[in-house]
Amino acid sequence: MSLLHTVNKSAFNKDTLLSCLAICQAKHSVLLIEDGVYGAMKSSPCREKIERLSAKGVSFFALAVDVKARGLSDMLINDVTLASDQDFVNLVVQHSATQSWY
Amino acid sequence: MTETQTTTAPKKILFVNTRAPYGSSMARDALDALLAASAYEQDLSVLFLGEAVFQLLRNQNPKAISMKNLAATLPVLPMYDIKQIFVQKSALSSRGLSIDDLVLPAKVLGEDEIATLMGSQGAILSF
Amino acid sequence: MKLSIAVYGAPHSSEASESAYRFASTACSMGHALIRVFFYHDGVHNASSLAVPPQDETQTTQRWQALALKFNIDLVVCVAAALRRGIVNTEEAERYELESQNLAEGFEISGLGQLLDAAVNSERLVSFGH
Repeated sequence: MSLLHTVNKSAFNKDTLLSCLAICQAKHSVLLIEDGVYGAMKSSPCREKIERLSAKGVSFFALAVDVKARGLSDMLINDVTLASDQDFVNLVVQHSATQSWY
Repeated sequence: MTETQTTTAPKKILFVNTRAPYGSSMARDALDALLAASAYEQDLSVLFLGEAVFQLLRNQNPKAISMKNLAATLPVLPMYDIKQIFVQKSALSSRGLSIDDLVLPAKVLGEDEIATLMGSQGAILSF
Repeated sequence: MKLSIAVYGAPHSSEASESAYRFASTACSMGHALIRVFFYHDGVHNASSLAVPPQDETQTTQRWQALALKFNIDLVVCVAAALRRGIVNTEEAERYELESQNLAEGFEISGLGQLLDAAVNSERLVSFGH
């Protein structure tokens, strides 16, 4: 069964995303929301891990409204897809359960 | 309130703790939710990740900070029929702790086992 | 699908309430059944009738009320967390001989078991914390 993880803390000052990534497996999805979208930046301390896990089948998303709010639209890792509010709902529905990291 | 129909087969529900005790009330609030949940006869598990392993540390004495002792309550979990208690192995080792430092018996899990545990749940309550 | 939401953040102080509301609103618009929104920890502040955000800011409590009315959603506030933070309905105000009550209309105070009940009776549950 595949999990959805939501992360709402910046990877630059909290280890929340790191803790999440340690648990991620293929077919899991990670949705960065709120301050969590900073973790999707090319300069993110988690960039290598994100790219490695993406190659292994973990899907990464960043909530578009939060990315736009913070002025990050042109600064994201290629492996991270922008997600709409509807995409968020669909991700919750498509995965067996959601673990919220906050 | 809307009437809800209780399903007959117990649902697997995992309580995930991530906070240390006392600095925020989340640890206490999670425990209260877990104890309240025990009355619903579901298939409950509780997992302590990261900082939450500190909730299980022996010899806590928060009297002088005007708080209730979390570690004094945790050992009652098995009495409430909550016996599936898990702790993150890497969280213990990175904090210089072992299972002997904890107030109640818990199964130590690696990251893959944690992913499997979470993946087998009907619902996850994240604290 | 039948969904439930747990909200642990207060309005204004963190983004949790905003994210939770947008999720709730979107899910309902997409035709999902939002069974319950459970307010716990600091989330109980979403239910205060005494909060007065500036006119040009989000009227958090009111928009939860409007959403609940439109889509017939249970807005449930945990009694223990609410009492600790001074969110009280008439019954609790009388019980504890308090000056007044401040639970906003459309919200209901209930026990912590309602969170587990939501988890049992929904197909998906999402938590929003700070």
